[in-house]
Amino acid sequence: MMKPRILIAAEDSFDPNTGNGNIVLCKEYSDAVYHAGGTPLVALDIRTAKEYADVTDALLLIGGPVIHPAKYGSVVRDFSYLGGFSGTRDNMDFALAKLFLAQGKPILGIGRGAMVVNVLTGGTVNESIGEKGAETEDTLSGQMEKLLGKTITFKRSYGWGIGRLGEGMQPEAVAPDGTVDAIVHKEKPVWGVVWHPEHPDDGAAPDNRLYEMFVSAAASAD
Amino acid sequence: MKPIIAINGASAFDRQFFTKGKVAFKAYPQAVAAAGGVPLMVPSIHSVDEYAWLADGLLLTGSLSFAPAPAYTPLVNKMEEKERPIFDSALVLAFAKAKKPIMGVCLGLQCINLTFGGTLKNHFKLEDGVEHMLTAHPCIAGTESIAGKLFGKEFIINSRHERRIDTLAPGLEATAWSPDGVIEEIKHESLPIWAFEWHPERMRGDDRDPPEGPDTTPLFEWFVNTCAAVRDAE
Repeated sequence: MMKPRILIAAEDSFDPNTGNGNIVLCKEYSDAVYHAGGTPLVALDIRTAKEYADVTDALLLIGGPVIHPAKYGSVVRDFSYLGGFSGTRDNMDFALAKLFLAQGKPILGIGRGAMVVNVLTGGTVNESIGEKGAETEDTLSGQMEKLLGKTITFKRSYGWGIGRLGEGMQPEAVAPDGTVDAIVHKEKPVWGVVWHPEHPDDGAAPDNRLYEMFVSAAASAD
Repeated sequence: MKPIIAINGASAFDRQFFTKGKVAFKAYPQAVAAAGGVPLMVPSIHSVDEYAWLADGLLLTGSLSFAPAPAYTPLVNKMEEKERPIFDSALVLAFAKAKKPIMGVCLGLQCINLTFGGTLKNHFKLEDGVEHMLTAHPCIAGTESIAGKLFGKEFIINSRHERRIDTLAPGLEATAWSPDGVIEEIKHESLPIWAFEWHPERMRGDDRDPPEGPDTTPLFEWFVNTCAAVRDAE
Protein backbone atom coordinates (compact mmCIF):
# COMPACT_ATOMS: atom_id res chain seq x y z
CA MET A 1 0.00 0.00 0.00
CA MET A 2 1.22 3.49 -0.82
CA LYS A 3 1.87 5.66 2.21
CA PRO A 4 -0.44 8.67 2.50
CA ARG A 5 1.06 11.79 0.94
CA ILE A 6 0.95 14.72 3.33
CA LEU A 7 1.27 18.16 1.78
CA ILE A 8 2.88 20.71 4.10
CA ALA A 9 2.29 24.44 3.60
CA ALA A 10 5.63 25.76 4.85
CA GLU A 11 7.24 29.00 5.94
CA ASP A 12 7.40 31.77 3.34
CA SER A 13 10.68 33.49 4.03
CA PHE A 14 13.29 35.91 2.76
CA ASP A 15 17.07 35.90 2.98
CA PRO A 16 18.40 39.46 3.45
CA ASN A 17 21.96 38.28 2.72
CA THR A 18 21.17 37.13 -0.80
CA GLY A 19 17.88 38.92 -1.56
CA ASN A 20 16.26 35.55 -2.23
CA GLY A 21 12.66 34.69 -1.44
CA ASN A 22 12.51 31.13 -0.16
CA ILE A 23 10.29 28.41 1.29
CA VAL A 24 11.57 26.88 4.54
CA LEU A 25 10.35 23.77 6.33
CA CYS A 26 11.37 22.95 9.91
CA LYS A 27 12.48 19.30 9.98
CA GLU A 28 10.35 18.50 13.03
CA TYR A 29 7.19 18.60 10.92
CA SER A 30 8.49 16.32 8.16
CA ASP A 31 9.91 13.93 10.80
CA ALA A 32 6.56 13.86 12.66
CA VAL A 33 4.75 13.05 9.40
CA TYR A 34 7.27 10.37 8.42
CA HIS A 35 7.22 8.69 11.85
CA ALA A 36 3.41 8.71 11.76
CA GLY A 37 3.56 6.69 8.50
CA GLY A 38 3.17 9.42 5.89
CA THR A 39 5.28 10.80 3.04
CA PRO A 40 5.96 14.52 3.59
CA LEU A 41 5.85 16.90 0.60
CA VAL A 42 6.14 20.69 0.57
CA ALA A 43 4.01 23.13 -1.46
CA LEU A 44 6.17 25.66 -3.34
CA ASP A 45 4.11 27.68 -5.83
CA ILE A 46 0.54 28.91 -5.40
CA ARG A 47 -0.14 28.60 -9.15
CA THR A 48 -0.20 24.83 -8.75
CA ALA A 49 -2.38 24.75 -5.59
CA LYS A 50 -5.13 22.81 -7.41
CA GLU A 51 -2.65 20.15 -8.58
CA TYR A 52 -1.23 19.84 -5.04
CA ALA A 53 -4.73 19.14 -3.71
CA ASP A 54 -5.28 16.55 -6.46
CA VAL A 55 -2.05 14.56 -5.98
CA THR A 56 -1.78 14.54 -2.16
CA ASP A 57 -4.02 13.02 0.52
CA ALA A 58 -4.04 15.57 3.34
CA LEU A 59 -2.83 19.04 4.29
CA LEU A 60 -0.66 20.04 7.26
CA LEU A 61 -0.73 23.74 8.15
CA ILE A 62 2.16 24.67 10.43
CA GLY A 63 3.35 27.39 12.81
CA GLY A 64 4.21 30.89 11.70
CA PRO A 65 3.38 34.59 11.79
CA VAL A 66 0.04 36.30 12.50
CA ILE A 67 -2.76 36.21 9.94
CA HIS A 68 -3.71 39.53 8.34
CA PRO A 69 -6.84 40.75 10.20
CA ALA A 70 -8.62 41.42 6.87
CA LYS A 71 -8.85 37.62 6.47
CA TYR A 72 -11.34 37.54 9.35
CA GLY A 73 -13.12 40.79 8.59
CA SER A 74 -11.14 42.98 10.98
CA VAL A 75 -8.70 45.86 10.52
CA VAL A 76 -5.11 46.49 11.61
CA ARG A 77 -5.22 48.79 14.66
CA ASP A 78 -1.57 48.48 15.65
CA PHE A 79 1.03 47.86 12.96
CA SER A 80 3.50 46.36 15.42
CA TYR A 81 1.00 43.48 15.72
CA LEU A 82 1.72 42.44 12.13
CA GLY A 83 5.42 41.80 12.91
CA GLY A 84 6.60 39.06 10.59
CA PHE A 85 3.26 39.00 8.75
CA SER A 86 3.47 37.41 5.28
CA GLY A 87 0.86 38.06 2.60
CA THR A 88 2.27 35.33 0.34
CA ARG A 89 2.11 32.85 3.25
CA ASP A 90 -1.50 33.80 4.01
CA ASN A 91 -2.42 33.39 0.35
CA MET A 92 -0.82 29.93 0.07
CA ASP A 93 -2.25 28.61 3.36
CA PHE A 94 -5.79 29.78 2.67
CA ALA A 95 -5.78 28.71 -0.99
CA LEU A 96 -4.69 25.18 -0.05
CA ALA A 97 -6.97 24.90 3.00
CA LYS A 98 -9.96 25.95 0.90
CA LEU A 99 -9.22 23.30 -1.74
CA PHE A 100 -8.65 20.47 0.76
CA LEU A 101 -11.78 21.44 2.72
CA ALA A 102 -13.86 21.42 -0.48
CA GLN A 103 -12.50 17.97 -1.43
CA GLY A 104 -13.16 16.60 2.08
CA LYS A 105 -9.48 15.73 2.53
CA PRO A 106 -8.04 15.86 6.05
CA ILE A 107 -6.49 19.09 7.35
CA LEU A 108 -4.42 19.38 10.52
CA GLY A 109 -3.56 22.90 11.69
CA ILE A 110 -0.71 23.26 14.19
CA GLY A 111 -0.11 26.59 15.96
CA ARG A 112 -0.83 29.26 13.36
CA GLY A 113 -2.43 26.48 11.29
CA ALA A 114 -5.19 26.08 13.90
CA MET A 115 -6.04 29.75 13.50
CA VAL A 116 -6.02 29.35 9.69
CA VAL A 117 -8.64 26.56 9.78
CA ASN A 118 -10.72 28.54 12.27
CA VAL A 119 -10.65 31.68 10.10
CA LEU A 120 -11.29 29.64 6.95
CA THR A 121 -14.55 28.37 8.43
CA GLY A 122 -15.67 31.89 9.38
CA GLY A 123 -14.08 32.27 12.82
CA THR A 124 -11.79 35.00 14.11
CA VAL A 125 -8.42 35.47 15.78
CA ASN A 126 -8.06 36.62 19.38
CA GLU A 127 -5.21 39.10 18.97
CA SER A 128 -4.21 39.24 22.64
CA ILE A 129 -4.44 35.81 24.17
CA GLY A 130 -1.87 36.43 26.88
CA GLU A 131 1.82 36.02 27.40
CA LYS A 132 3.94 34.03 24.93
CA GLY A 133 5.72 31.24 26.81
CA ALA A 134 3.09 31.10 29.57
CA GLU A 135 2.17 27.60 30.71
CA THR A 136 -1.43 26.44 30.61
CA GLU A 137 -3.25 23.27 31.60
CA ASP A 138 -6.21 22.70 29.31
CA THR A 139 -9.18 20.40 29.79
CA LEU A 140 -9.76 18.11 26.82
CA SER A 141 -13.01 16.71 25.49
CA GLY A 142 -14.33 14.74 22.49
CA GLN A 143 -11.74 13.36 20.04
CA MET A 144 -8.89 15.16 21.79
CA GLU A 145 -9.76 13.54 25.13
CA LYS A 146 -9.98 10.10 23.50
CA LEU A 147 -6.61 10.61 21.86
CA LEU A 148 -4.59 12.44 24.53
CA GLY A 149 -6.36 12.03 27.88
CA LYS A 150 -8.27 14.41 30.14
CA THR A 151 -5.80 17.30 30.21
CA ILE A 152 -2.77 18.68 28.38
CA THR A 153 -0.12 21.06 29.72
CA PHE A 154 1.89 23.17 27.29
CA LYS A 155 3.63 26.52 26.87
CA ARG A 156 2.07 29.10 24.58
CA SER A 157 4.13 29.69 21.41
CA TYR A 158 1.85 32.58 20.41
CA GLY A 159 0.48 35.75 21.97
CA TRP A 160 -2.56 35.37 19.72
CA GLY A 161 -4.99 32.51 19.25
CA ILE A 162 -8.43 31.21 18.42
CA GLY A 163 -11.21 33.82 18.76
CA ARG A 164 -14.85 33.27 17.77
CA LEU A 165 -15.20 29.70 16.54
CA GLY A 166 -15.64 28.95 12.86
CA GLU A 167 -18.79 27.30 11.54
CA GLY A 168 -18.97 23.61 12.47
CA MET A 169 -15.99 23.90 14.84
CA GLN A 170 -16.19 22.42 18.33
CA PRO A 171 -13.87 23.42 21.19
CA GLU A 172 -11.95 20.35 22.44
CA ALA A 173 -9.18 21.93 24.54
CA VAL A 174 -10.13 24.77 26.83
CA ALA A 175 -7.83 26.74 29.17
CA PRO A 176 -8.93 27.68 32.73
CA ASP A 177 -9.73 31.23 31.50
CA GLY A 178 -11.99 29.85 28.76
CA THR A 179 -9.52 30.27 25.87
CA VAL A 180 -10.06 27.62 23.19
CA ASP A 181 -6.80 25.91 22.20
CA ALA A 182 -8.05 23.02 20.05
CA ILE A 183 -10.89 22.86 17.55
CA VAL A 184 -12.39 19.88 15.75
CA HIS A 185 -14.90 20.03 12.90
CA LYS A 186 -18.22 18.31 13.65
CA GLU A 187 -18.42 16.49 10.31
CA LYS A 188 -15.23 16.98 8.33
CA PRO A 189 -11.73 15.63 9.02
CA VAL A 190 -10.41 19.01 10.18
CA TRP A 191 -8.44 19.58 13.37
CA GLY A 192 -6.56 22.54 14.84
CA VAL A 193 -4.38 22.70 17.94
CA VAL A 194 -2.43 25.77 19.03
CA TRP A 195 0.31 23.76 20.77
CA HIS A 196 3.22 22.12 18.92
CA PRO A 197 3.35 18.38 19.65
CA GLU A 198 6.35 17.99 17.29
CA HIS A 199 8.44 20.60 19.09
CA PRO A 200 10.30 19.80 22.36
CA ASP A 201 10.18 23.39 23.70
CA ASP A 202 6.41 23.17 23.61
CA GLY A 203 6.50 21.95 27.21
CA ALA A 204 4.21 19.00 26.60
CA ALA A 205 5.62 15.46 26.58
CA PRO A 206 6.95 14.32 23.17
CA ASP A 207 3.91 12.88 21.53
CA ASN A 208 3.19 11.82 17.95
CA ARG A 209 -0.38 10.59 18.54
CA LEU A 210 -1.98 13.62 16.91
CA TYR A 211 0.13 13.17 13.76
CA GLU A 212 -0.60 9.42 13.76
CA MET A 213 -4.34 10.07 13.96
CA PHE A 214 -4.05 12.59 11.11
CA VAL A 215 -1.98 10.32 8.84
CA SER A 216 -4.40 7.41 9.49
CA ALA A 217 -7.29 9.66 8.49
CA ALA A 218 -5.38 10.54 5.31
CA ALA A 219 -4.90 6.82 4.57
CA SER A 220 -8.61 6.07 4.89
CA ALA A 221 -9.87 9.22 3.14
CA ASP A 222 -9.86 7.61 -0.32
CA MET B 1 -2.14 15.86 -15.77
CA LYS B 2 0.80 18.23 -15.36
CA PRO B 3 4.11 16.48 -14.57
CA ILE B 4 5.21 16.56 -10.92
CA ILE B 5 8.77 17.84 -10.46
CA ALA B 6 10.51 16.99 -7.18
CA ILE B 7 12.87 19.68 -5.89
CA ASN B 8 15.54 18.89 -3.29
CA GLY B 9 16.00 21.49 -0.58
CA ALA B 10 19.18 22.95 0.87
CA SER B 11 19.94 22.95 4.59
CA ALA B 12 18.27 25.66 6.68
CA PHE B 13 17.10 26.80 10.06
CA ASP B 14 13.49 27.88 10.29
CA ARG B 15 12.52 31.32 11.59
CA GLN B 16 10.05 30.27 14.26
CA PHE B 17 11.96 27.68 16.27
CA PHE B 18 15.50 28.08 14.84
CA THR B 19 15.63 24.32 14.30
CA LYS B 20 16.98 22.29 11.39
CA GLY B 21 15.07 22.21 8.16
CA LYS B 22 15.07 22.46 4.38
CA VAL B 23 14.91 25.50 2.11
CA ALA B 24 14.00 25.99 -1.54
CA PHE B 25 15.00 29.19 -3.34
CA LYS B 26 11.72 30.34 -4.95
CA ALA B 27 13.25 30.91 -8.41
CA TYR B 28 13.39 27.11 -8.94
CA PRO B 29 9.69 26.30 -8.28
CA GLN B 30 8.65 29.49 -10.06
CA ALA B 31 10.53 28.37 -13.18
CA VAL B 32 8.94 24.90 -12.97
CA ALA B 33 5.38 26.18 -12.39
CA ALA B 34 5.72 28.76 -15.18
CA ALA B 35 6.82 25.94 -17.51
CA GLY B 36 3.70 23.86 -16.73
CA GLY B 37 5.10 21.56 -14.03
CA VAL B 38 3.99 20.97 -10.45
CA PRO B 39 6.95 21.75 -8.15
CA LEU B 40 7.08 19.91 -4.80
CA MET B 41 9.93 20.06 -2.29
CA VAL B 42 10.92 16.61 -0.99
CA PRO B 43 12.19 17.07 2.58
CA SER B 44 12.73 13.59 4.05
CA ILE B 45 15.64 11.23 3.33
CA HIS B 46 13.49 8.34 4.59
CA SER B 47 10.97 8.87 1.78
CA VAL B 48 13.32 9.01 -1.22
CA ASP B 49 11.84 5.91 -2.89
CA GLU B 50 8.27 7.26 -2.50
CA TYR B 51 9.39 10.55 -4.04
CA ALA B 52 10.92 8.76 -7.05
CA TRP B 53 7.69 6.80 -7.46
CA LEU B 54 5.39 9.83 -7.16
CA ALA B 55 7.30 12.46 -9.14
CA ASP B 56 7.86 12.50 -12.90
CA GLY B 57 11.24 14.21 -12.67
CA LEU B 58 13.84 15.67 -10.32
CA LEU B 59 15.24 19.19 -10.32
CA LEU B 60 18.47 18.97 -8.32
CA THR B 61 19.13 22.54 -7.25
CA GLY B 62 22.23 24.57 -6.58
CA SER B 63 23.48 25.34 -3.11
CA LEU B 64 21.67 27.98 -1.08
CA SER B 65 21.45 27.22 2.60
CA PHE B 66 19.53 29.62 4.83
CA ALA B 67 20.04 30.86 8.39
CA PRO B 68 17.54 33.36 9.80
CA ALA B 69 20.25 35.06 11.89
CA PRO B 70 24.00 35.58 11.17
CA ALA B 71 24.97 33.59 14.27
CA TYR B 72 23.49 30.48 12.67
CA THR B 73 25.35 30.73 9.36
CA PRO B 74 28.43 28.64 10.37
CA LEU B 75 26.12 26.00 11.87
CA VAL B 76 23.96 25.71 8.79
CA ASN B 77 27.04 25.47 6.54
CA LYS B 78 28.47 22.68 8.68
CA MET B 79 25.15 20.84 8.50
CA GLU B 80 25.02 21.38 4.73
CA GLU B 81 28.48 19.87 4.17
CA LYS B 82 27.61 16.73 6.08
CA GLU B 83 24.00 16.04 5.12
CA ARG B 84 23.38 17.50 1.70
CA PRO B 85 25.60 15.20 -0.43
CA ILE B 86 24.09 12.11 1.21
CA PHE B 87 20.49 13.23 0.66
CA ASP B 88 21.05 14.56 -2.87
CA SER B 89 22.92 11.43 -3.98
CA ALA B 90 20.13 9.26 -2.60
CA LEU B 91 17.64 11.22 -4.72
CA VAL B 92 19.82 10.94 -7.84
CA LEU B 93 20.17 7.18 -7.43
CA ALA B 94 16.43 6.69 -6.79
CA PHE B 95 15.37 8.71 -9.86
CA ALA B 96 18.11 7.15 -12.02
CA LYS B 97 16.91 3.68 -10.97
CA ALA B 98 13.33 4.66 -11.89
CA LYS B 99 14.72 5.99 -15.23
CA LYS B 100 13.01 9.33 -14.57
CA PRO B 101 14.48 12.60 -15.86
CA ILE B 102 16.90 14.59 -13.71
CA MET B 103 17.98 18.18 -14.32
CA GLY B 104 20.92 19.33 -12.19
CA VAL B 105 21.95 22.93 -11.54
CA CYS B 106 25.40 23.94 -10.24
CA LEU B 107 25.87 21.86 -7.06
CA GLY B 108 23.29 19.54 -8.64
CA LEU B 109 25.62 18.99 -11.63
CA GLN B 110 28.55 18.43 -9.28
CA CYS B 111 26.53 15.99 -7.16
CA ILE B 112 25.47 13.98 -10.25
CA ASN B 113 29.11 13.72 -11.34
CA LEU B 114 30.25 12.58 -7.87
CA THR B 115 27.37 10.11 -7.52
CA PHE B 116 28.34 8.33 -10.75
CA GLY B 117 32.05 8.25 -9.83
CA GLY B 118 33.55 11.49 -11.19
CA THR B 119 35.67 14.02 -9.31
CA LEU B 120 35.57 17.75 -8.63
CA LYS B 121 38.22 20.41 -8.28
CA ASN B 122 37.65 22.73 -5.31
CA HIS B 123 38.65 26.41 -5.51
CA PHE B 124 39.90 25.85 -9.05
CA LYS B 125 40.29 29.57 -9.64
CA LEU B 126 43.39 29.69 -7.43
CA GLU B 127 45.16 27.16 -9.67
CA ASP B 128 43.54 27.97 -13.01
CA GLY B 129 43.47 31.75 -12.50
CA VAL B 130 39.86 32.13 -13.69
CA GLU B 131 37.01 33.70 -11.71
CA HIS B 132 33.65 31.89 -11.86
CA MET B 133 31.92 33.39 -8.81
CA LEU B 134 29.32 36.14 -9.27
CA THR B 135 30.33 36.95 -12.82
CA ALA B 136 29.16 36.24 -16.38
CA HIS B 137 30.80 34.81 -19.50
CA PRO B 138 29.96 33.13 -22.83
CA CYS B 139 28.82 29.52 -23.01
CA ILE B 140 30.15 27.58 -26.02
CA ALA B 141 27.60 24.88 -26.84
CA GLY B 142 28.48 21.62 -28.58
CA THR B 143 26.08 19.86 -30.95
CA GLU B 144 24.59 17.75 -28.13
CA SER B 145 23.90 20.71 -25.83
CA ILE B 146 20.24 21.22 -24.86
CA ALA B 147 20.84 24.89 -24.09
CA GLY B 148 22.65 25.22 -27.43
CA LYS B 149 19.59 23.91 -29.28
CA LEU B 150 17.45 26.54 -27.55
CA PHE B 151 19.77 29.56 -27.32
CA GLY B 152 22.37 29.12 -30.07
CA LYS B 153 26.01 28.06 -30.37
CA GLU B 154 27.19 30.87 -28.12
CA PHE B 155 25.25 32.83 -25.50
CA ILE B 156 25.97 34.65 -22.24
CA ILE B 157 25.45 32.88 -18.89
CA ASN B 158 25.95 33.70 -15.22
CA SER B 159 28.69 32.07 -13.19
CA ARG B 160 28.35 31.36 -9.45
CA HIS B 161 30.51 28.42 -8.39
CA GLU B 162 33.77 27.64 -6.55
CA ARG B 163 34.11 24.04 -7.79
CA ARG B 164 34.21 22.56 -11.25
CA ILE B 165 34.17 19.08 -12.72
CA ASP B 166 37.70 17.64 -12.82
CA THR B 167 37.15 14.16 -14.25
CA LEU B 168 33.78 13.16 -15.67
CA ALA B 169 32.05 10.08 -14.28
CA PRO B 170 31.68 7.02 -16.55
CA GLY B 171 28.51 7.46 -18.64
CA LEU B 172 28.57 11.26 -18.50
CA GLU B 173 29.72 13.52 -21.32
CA ALA B 174 30.37 17.24 -21.56
CA THR B 175 28.19 19.16 -24.01
CA ALA B 176 29.07 22.84 -23.35
CA TRP B 177 32.06 24.77 -22.02
CA SER B 178 33.18 28.21 -20.87
CA PRO B 179 35.91 29.89 -23.00
CA ASP B 180 38.42 28.98 -20.25
CA GLY B 181 37.53 25.29 -20.40
CA VAL B 182 35.11 24.77 -17.49
CA ILE B 183 32.45 22.17 -18.27
CA GLU B 184 29.12 24.07 -18.27
CA GLU B 185 26.69 21.32 -19.33
CA ILE B 186 26.66 17.54 -19.17
CA LYS B 187 24.39 14.70 -20.21
CA HIS B 188 24.22 11.00 -19.48
CA GLU B 189 24.84 8.70 -22.46
CA SER B 190 21.85 6.42 -21.73
CA LEU B 191 19.78 7.83 -18.83
CA PRO B 192 17.56 10.96 -19.05
CA ILE B 193 19.99 13.09 -17.02
CA TRP B 194 21.18 16.58 -17.91
CA ALA B 195 22.93 19.20 -15.78
CA PHE B 196 24.18 22.77 -15.97
CA GLU B 197 27.03 24.44 -14.08
CA TRP B 198 25.36 27.86 -14.55
CA HIS B 199 22.04 29.00 -13.06
CA PRO B 200 19.17 29.06 -15.59
CA GLU B 201 16.66 29.76 -12.78
CA ARG B 202 18.22 33.22 -12.42
CA MET B 203 17.80 34.03 -16.12
CA ARG B 204 14.03 34.38 -16.46
CA GLY B 205 11.72 37.35 -16.73
CA ASP B 206 12.46 41.05 -16.33
CA ASP B 207 15.39 40.93 -13.89
CA ARG B 208 17.83 38.48 -15.42
CA ASP B 209 21.34 37.61 -14.26
CA PRO B 210 23.08 38.48 -16.52
CA PRO B 211 20.85 40.97 -18.38
CA GLU B 212 22.55 40.20 -21.71
CA GLY B 213 21.73 36.48 -21.42
CA PRO B 214 18.70 34.77 -23.01
CA ASP B 215 15.42 34.28 -21.13
CA THR B 216 15.78 30.64 -20.08
CA THR B 217 12.07 29.87 -19.62
CA PRO B 218 12.25 27.54 -22.70
CA LEU B 219 14.86 25.39 -20.93
CA PHE B 220 12.45 24.67 -18.07
CA GLU B 221 9.65 24.07 -20.58
CA TRP B 222 11.91 21.58 -22.33
CA PHE B 223 12.59 19.77 -19.03
CA VAL B 224 8.93 19.70 -17.91
CA ASN B 225 7.86 18.46 -21.38
CA THR B 226 10.59 15.81 -21.30
CA CYS B 227 9.29 14.59 -17.90
CA ALA B 228 5.76 14.38 -19.34
CA ALA B 229 6.99 12.54 -22.45
CA VAL B 230 8.98 9.97 -20.41
CA ARG B 231 5.95 9.40 -18.15
CA ASP B 232 3.55 9.02 -21.08
CA ALA B 233 5.87 6.58 -22.90
CA GLU B 234 5.65 4.08 -20.02
